[in-house]
Amino acid sequence: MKLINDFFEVIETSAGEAGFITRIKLNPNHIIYSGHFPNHPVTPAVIQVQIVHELIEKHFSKKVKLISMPGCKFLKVLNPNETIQVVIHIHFARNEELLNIKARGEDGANTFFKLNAVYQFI
Amino acid sequence: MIISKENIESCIPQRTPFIMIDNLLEVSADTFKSDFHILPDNIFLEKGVLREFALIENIAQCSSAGLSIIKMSSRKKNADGFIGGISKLKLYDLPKINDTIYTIVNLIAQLENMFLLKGENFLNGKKLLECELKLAGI
Repeated sequence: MKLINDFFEVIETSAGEAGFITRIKLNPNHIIYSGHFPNHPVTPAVIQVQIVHELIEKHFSKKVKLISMPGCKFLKVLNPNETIQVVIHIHFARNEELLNIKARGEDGANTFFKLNAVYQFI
Repeated sequence: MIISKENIESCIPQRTPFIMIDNLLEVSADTFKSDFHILPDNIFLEKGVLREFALIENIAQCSSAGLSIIKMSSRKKNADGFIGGISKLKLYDLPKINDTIYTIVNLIAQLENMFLLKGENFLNGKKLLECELKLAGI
């Protein structure tokens, strides 16, 4: 299942040489929230990682494969009824087919996650 | 068999369509084992392949179920659990629709209501993914 245009939509994006910033809007009515958790929607950590993955593929217009994730921290619960828009910052260093990523998600007041990961273009 | 698929909701907070575990097979003081059959309606399937996000979630749910059995946690019924961190993750391969994966989790450390666990998923003895998880609020 793809999350883009279903679980979330892209509101705006801006790009620099070594990174890009994307403002997304979550869909609080998505079926994922009915199971995570009933009557208490929390955006799953693994879904936040998948959002970053899909934004990387959108930016490069290319599929990438996750190789490793040295570290990822989830600092605050992301409840879509309290925080519907999240700004995702993605910095990258490209080494041929490998892509080293540092990403974070925030809403101006709170940082929800920080992620370091290595992807490969496929 | 410790907890069968039919009763797994008694030891994890997730509900359909976000349940990524079937049977909790074995539980000891620091090791939990589970299996998971990949059905066609799994939300993490993409072109017949199960994405790595489901494997991480599977390790988290095996951890959560195992912790509830050894009662190290103070988790109350219906309490939620959260992944506080993912680290040292390595991805080797992904399973496909109708595969049954096998998961082993080792409890490395506990600090009050925070748990550090190492998990690995296997398909037919071949490792798919490994990572360490920090779980909180279980």
